[in-house]
Amino acid sequence: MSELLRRLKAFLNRGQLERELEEEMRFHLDQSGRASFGRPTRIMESSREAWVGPWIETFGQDVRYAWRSLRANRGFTAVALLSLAFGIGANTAIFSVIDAILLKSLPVDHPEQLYVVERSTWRGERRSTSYPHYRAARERKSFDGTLFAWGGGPDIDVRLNGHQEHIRARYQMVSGNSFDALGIRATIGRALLESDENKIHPAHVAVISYGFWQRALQADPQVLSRSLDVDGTVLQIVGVVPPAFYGLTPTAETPDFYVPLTMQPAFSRWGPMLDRPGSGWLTLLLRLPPHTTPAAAQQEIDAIWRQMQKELDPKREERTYDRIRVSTAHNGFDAGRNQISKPLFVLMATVGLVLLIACANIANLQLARGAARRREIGVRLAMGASRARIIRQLLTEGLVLAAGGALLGLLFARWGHTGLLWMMQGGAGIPSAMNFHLDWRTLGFTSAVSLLTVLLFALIPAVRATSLEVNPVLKKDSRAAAGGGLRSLLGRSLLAVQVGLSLLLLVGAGLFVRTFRNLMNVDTGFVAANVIQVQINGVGEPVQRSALYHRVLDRIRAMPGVQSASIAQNGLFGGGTSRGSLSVEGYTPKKDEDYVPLYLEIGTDYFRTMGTPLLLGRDFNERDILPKSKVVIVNEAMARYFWGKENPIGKRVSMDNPAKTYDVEVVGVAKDVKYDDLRKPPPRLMYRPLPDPFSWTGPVMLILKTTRAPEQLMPTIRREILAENARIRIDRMHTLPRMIADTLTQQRLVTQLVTFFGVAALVLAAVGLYGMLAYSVVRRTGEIGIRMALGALRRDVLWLIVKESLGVVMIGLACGVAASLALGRLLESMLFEIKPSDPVALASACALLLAVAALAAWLPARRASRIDPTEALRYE
Amino acid sequence: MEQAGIPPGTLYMLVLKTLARLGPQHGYGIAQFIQQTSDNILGVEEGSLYPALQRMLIKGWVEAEWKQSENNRRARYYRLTSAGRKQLQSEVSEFHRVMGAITRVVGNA
Repeated sequence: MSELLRRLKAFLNRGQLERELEEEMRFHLDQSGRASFGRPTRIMESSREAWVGPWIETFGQDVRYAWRSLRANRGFTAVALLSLAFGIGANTAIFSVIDAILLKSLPVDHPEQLYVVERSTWRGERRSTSYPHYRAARERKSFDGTLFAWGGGPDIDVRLNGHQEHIRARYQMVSGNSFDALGIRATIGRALLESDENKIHPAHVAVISYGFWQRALQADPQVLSRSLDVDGTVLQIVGVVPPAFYGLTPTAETPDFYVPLTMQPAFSRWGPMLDRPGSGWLTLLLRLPPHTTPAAAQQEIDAIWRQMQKELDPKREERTYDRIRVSTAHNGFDAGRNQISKPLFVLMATVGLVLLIACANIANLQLARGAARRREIGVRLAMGASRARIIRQLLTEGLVLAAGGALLGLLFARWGHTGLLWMMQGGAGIPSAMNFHLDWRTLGFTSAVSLLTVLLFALIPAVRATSLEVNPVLKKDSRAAAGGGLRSLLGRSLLAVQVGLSLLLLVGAGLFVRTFRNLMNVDTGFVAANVIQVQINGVGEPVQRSALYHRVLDRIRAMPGVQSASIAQNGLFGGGTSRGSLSVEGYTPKKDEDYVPLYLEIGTDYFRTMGTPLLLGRDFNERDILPKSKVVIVNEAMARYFWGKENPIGKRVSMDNPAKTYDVEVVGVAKDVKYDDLRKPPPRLMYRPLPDPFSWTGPVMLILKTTRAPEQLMPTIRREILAENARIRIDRMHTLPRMIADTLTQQRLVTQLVTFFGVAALVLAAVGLYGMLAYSVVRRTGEIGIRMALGALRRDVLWLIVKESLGVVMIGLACGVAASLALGRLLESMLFEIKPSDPVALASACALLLAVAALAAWLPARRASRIDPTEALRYE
Repeated sequence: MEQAGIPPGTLYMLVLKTLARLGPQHGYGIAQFIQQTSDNILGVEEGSLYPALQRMLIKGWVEAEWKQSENNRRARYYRLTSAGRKQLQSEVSEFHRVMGAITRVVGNA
């Protein structure tokens, strides 16, 4: 070890050591009376070797040589550098996005000890936990660990003390022990405490984020004396969390402030829920002691949950109990994460293939260069250089190239990462947690990829270039075909590989493009154009709210530019789902059959506004919306499910009725609609009239259809609503086409990127083919001259050149088609109404590739056919 | 008598032994000692000596220090370290072992 240190020291002090050695030798010279040494340079060299070990010295030599060589061949270097930069950059960009979304650990103490308690119904739907259940779980648990809870909160308007205007802020309701469990210590003041979470005397405190302190409070040093006003509730700011903490969901915006769970009544749209065991709004998290497996905790929590469900409803069947699963949360918990992992991996595979194609290109170029340097290498071999030494030098050249490509690639990667995330968020901005960080993981990945590319494009050509018979080379035998290009099997294989991989990507792109088109054109069952969905939340008791909503509806209906308007419990495509209990007269469900349809409570004029036709029967009318109404409308899917081909009009059902009399009648059948997902078939749906007044508190969805561009009308709509009552909260207002498009963001993203990279691959392969053919033409100039002198026509020469590439391209296409068929199955879940083996996609990709290949071949062939035979014969 | 070259692999041993016998010495002095003590049979080439000394420095068998020489010139004096002493011991015993074996084969005549 210490020898290594001495070597390092010697390496760093090289200059001084050399001077000392010179002085030492001069002393020796003087003492021995001689004039000079025999071989002073040799002495220096050997000493230098002794200092750093032989390999570093030669490595430095190799690097300098490589640098000179690359500068001499600017064309090759430029092409190679750009291809590498593009390939490595794209791979790094996608990797860093994957890292930010899926892999990166939370910035808390020991993230590997963090777990999330996932609760799902027996049907597999995720469920949140209620406050009473959370507290009961904490009391009843006996295993070693800390349970804490996080409650969601979207944005809310707050007012800072001393200011008049409202600011939109994002908040998070957290249990008092959260910050302690996460190991987050406040930078100013204190974080929340267990004692803040007091149901009887809830602490009116808030802890704000660093960003919020900087932005909204201008980094006020007196921040601990400020307070936030949320709709009348005043919260004292007691602390500021460190900037590195971005919450537990990396793909969401960092929360601006945190409040104790017990503040829920002041914040919630749904009313106070602290005492309602059936209302779920929390996610349960767990910190386990080091080196503990979650299995024991999972078992215990599962048992506690079963107990609680039994207490809540003793008659509930065991099989319908919720399932508990404790999974790792070292990278946070994020509902949207699973959805995006598949597209990201598809993208990763895509850029990987592009990189392979780029490497194949460079390898072929290297093979050709190797052929051109035959004489130089032959001379070096003849002078005693070992083959390994030359291979090492050639590899070093590849390393320098790859290093250059990697550095450029990192630059590309930064842009690519930002651009990719921007596209994923639909242009809505990127959460700060996901900014491009050049951390060691990304660097490590880039380095690994670069080294891999060097192996791929430099090793084989290096070996090839040095496996020479020295004599023929020295004798200027230009017929020796040691190089790449179309003469050697290796060169041809590389080209075929490029063609095949490009085809694979093109087929993929074609499939995605068709899928996207299919999705955009699918029959949704409603007319989305010019429809706006507005989610509003009123104030007061249910009766007052109900009246308020209806007054707002009347106002909207009276607005010019509004063709029709209605109201509904949920909107489509992002509105949420509801279910209730149901019994159908004459229908006995089988054991374990999941037959209950979705419910939707709607007002009058709903179907007209949505453009969903009623196929049978009638719409709801004014009488139906009285509280005791007894009518429903079903959709086709539900009608088919329960009554087959019979007319469902007049059939009877029973809903939420303890007496179980079938007192509700079906009065209409509506067309199937896609409820919240364009890909899934329309679900069974039962429409009920929204009673006036209705019995629950909460938001409703206003749905309206405009006669002209909806975006222009939105500010007026907002004004009208607030004019009715200024305290109404407008949670969301979007056009329906926009909400549908939002669900397609990822699909659109993947389609665009795969198409982009598919075209890039095509270009790379075409360039490779062109380069090889051009090179071949140059080498065969003499032969062509002879042929033409012997009577060959221009046409014949053209065909001669093109023929060379034909075989390669055909084989490449065949392999590409085979690979597409084999791998296509992996994409099946991402396609819609098109099979992975779709013949049109395959055929069009092949046709495109053939056309491009033909062009790439035709250009050099044309040049060949224009060769003047006399010139060619003189060319040597 | 003609000078023979230093047999390969023995240069380190000769230098280390020289330093052990003489104490701290500069390169020229080491070369002179070996030459004279061997009755001019073993001639040390500067081309081998100085690189070897550098390597021994790296390996930690010797330490070097600039001092004033006998005639008041600046010279670099090398000194044996404890690691060097150990190395000397092992090289000498190995040398004797091999020489003994060769002698047995070649015989005394």
